[in-house]
Amino acid sequence: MKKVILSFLALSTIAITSCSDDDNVTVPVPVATHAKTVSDINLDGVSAPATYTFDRSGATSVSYGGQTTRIKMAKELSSALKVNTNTEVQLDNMYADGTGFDEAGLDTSGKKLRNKSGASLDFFDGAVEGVTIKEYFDNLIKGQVDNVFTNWSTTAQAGTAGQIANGSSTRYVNAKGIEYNQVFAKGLIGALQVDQALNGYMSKVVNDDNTTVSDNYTTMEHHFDEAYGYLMNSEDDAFFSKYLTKVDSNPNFTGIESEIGQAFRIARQAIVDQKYAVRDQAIEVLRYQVSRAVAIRTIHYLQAGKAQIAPSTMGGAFHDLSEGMGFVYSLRFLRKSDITDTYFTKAEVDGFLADMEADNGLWDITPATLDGICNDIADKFDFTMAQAAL
Amino acid sequence: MKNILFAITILLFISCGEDDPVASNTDTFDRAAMLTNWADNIIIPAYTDYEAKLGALKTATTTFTTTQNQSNLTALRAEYLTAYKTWQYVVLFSSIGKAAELDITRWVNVYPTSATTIETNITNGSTNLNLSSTNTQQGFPALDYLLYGVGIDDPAIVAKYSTANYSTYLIAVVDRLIALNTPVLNDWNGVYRNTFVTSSGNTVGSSVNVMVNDYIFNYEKYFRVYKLGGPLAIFGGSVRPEELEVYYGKQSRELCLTALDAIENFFSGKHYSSTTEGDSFKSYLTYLDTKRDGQALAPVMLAQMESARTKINLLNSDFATQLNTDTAPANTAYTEIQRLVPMLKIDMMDQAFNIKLDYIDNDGD
Repeated sequence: MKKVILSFLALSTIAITSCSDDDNVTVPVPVATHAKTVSDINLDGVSAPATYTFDRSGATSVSYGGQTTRIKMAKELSSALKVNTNTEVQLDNMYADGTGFDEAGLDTSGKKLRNKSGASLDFFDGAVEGVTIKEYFDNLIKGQVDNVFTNWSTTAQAGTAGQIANGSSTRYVNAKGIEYNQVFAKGLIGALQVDQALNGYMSKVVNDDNTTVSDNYTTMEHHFDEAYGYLMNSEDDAFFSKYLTKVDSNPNFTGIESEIGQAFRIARQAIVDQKYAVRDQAIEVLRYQVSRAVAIRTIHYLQAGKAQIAPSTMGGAFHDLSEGMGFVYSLRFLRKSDITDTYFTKAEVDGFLADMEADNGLWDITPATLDGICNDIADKFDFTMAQAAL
Repeated sequence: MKNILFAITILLFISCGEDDPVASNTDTFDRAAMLTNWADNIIIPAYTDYEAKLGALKTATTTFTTTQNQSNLTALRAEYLTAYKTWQYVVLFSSIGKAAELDITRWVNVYPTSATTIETNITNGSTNLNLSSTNTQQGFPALDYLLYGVGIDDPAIVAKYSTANYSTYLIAVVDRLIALNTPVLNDWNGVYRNTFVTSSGNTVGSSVNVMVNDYIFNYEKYFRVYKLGGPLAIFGGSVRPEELEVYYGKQSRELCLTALDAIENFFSGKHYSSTTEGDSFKSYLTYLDTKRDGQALAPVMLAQMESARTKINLLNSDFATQLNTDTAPANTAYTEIQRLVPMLKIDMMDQAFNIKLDYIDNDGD
């Protein structure tokens, strides 16, 4: 049965490939060595619950309060970036020191956003690039205050920061038409949520203690819950979780949200059952599907922006392209499931961003440039630009 | 297993499907005649009348700001309401041509208006109403506040305009409405009329397709959601009367019914300010012999509009009063308004006219 399913998956891969123009190329039959979907996992008797609910001695063993706190902080900070009376110091404090928030409890939580941005064990902790990533977000804040807040009541034009209409909304952009606040928020999806989950916690669990129980959980359980808390948090109506739902509503990717949810539950149950081969297969699925979801949404925004490049709808184009830029920045943190490597190098992502920011930036970006970036992204995965664009 | 194969097959179909099936080419309805009726007998007369009503509004504004008294305020309010009602007709065509290019809807009728910012602007003495973020500080909703909301009663309102800054702001808002409409009317009287009428095919971007989409968008959003559904909290939250159209002047039912007149008249192809009918959605549906549950669709839709009108008429003339006292009749009216939506989107647009929805997906963030 399993073999038959796999062969159908292979078939579907071939068939999808055959939609492209080069029909005459012989397509090698792919050899599935790593789990990409839940159906690929050899469950070995692991039976996951229907919801992410795990108990020990009658009490929950699931805990990810720190992730919930950081998601709330990221939300407040994203909003604060749109209040032109805020100072750089105030915004820096929210980002780096974890203080200055309205919601009770956030300031005293001890949690911070900056020290977890581009800070994963596998790639960025202690690395020069890890510092560069944190400074990238610092500079978005600085740019917002220095360039956009100062031109808050100016009409934006090529080379001049200011405001521009987008339907009933007003967007505030820099001289290149970029909404810093959008780049900031969507960039954190990769630098904070995806990086911490896929490149941090999911790597940590491999070597974690899974026998000593403290606070009703083992270290391995807790670290895995923290990965879950970044990506599947019910408080997240603005970051990864929100956009995963949107990807799922694209008919070409229906079911991806459920796949990810199932893989999380299987991995967590496998940890409880101490079936580590199952845990590792489920993590392969998670790395693959979470990475796909971010890449799909990146293409969606770049294409949605492209469709609005016209004099009367530039505000809409800027908004979608700015969201797209944040997603492009997030690409750096996507993690291949079969080897210890990212899908995109720093040079590739920097190249995409440089293409978008060249000359007058989004004011004179061309559809060809955007299609080029989108095709480069899609080439890393098993879907086309057109499928992701919806 | 069969199910999986089936699902994969479906998936493949979707993923490869660039060539959507085209309607059987038996539809030879004279779309050009319909477009001509719309342009010459409905759209251009409506814009022309709206321009005239704005002119009368400007005259009354000048009179009132020169001589601030109760009778001049009353006269000004009358001209304002007349112009606002004319806008309810014009809004149906506000997403095509120059009106779309200028995005006039976002400037003319976005509510709730920002009363506090308007007061700040007045205090500051000068405001650039071309600036995007000022769209909630101008248009008819700003006039609603300026003519009904700046004082606790009429003498207090009249007294405000003895301060030059109030008069200056009022004049600026009226001038801005005119500045937005004049180029639109000129464009229709110039080259755009022929562009519109000759684009008679059935492709994305052709006049009929755009008009059908905009008509339904207007019905769903500007009519159904903004005038009632949103403030009624149909889409979540608690009842928000402060989000109603004409919150200060309290003529919400009158404007709502006027908007329904405009929607119904356009559906039937009625010439502007006349009972004569020309080619329209109604005659197109009749030509196609479109049925719903065995009955001709066009009369069913008109009957549904009448049902909505009947229920709207049962509401308090001030919807805010209605929402604050008893939401049940408002919910009933909303339900009747909503019942037309599937007829518009599925029966008429998709199945009969074979036109696809073209709304841009909006994140809302």
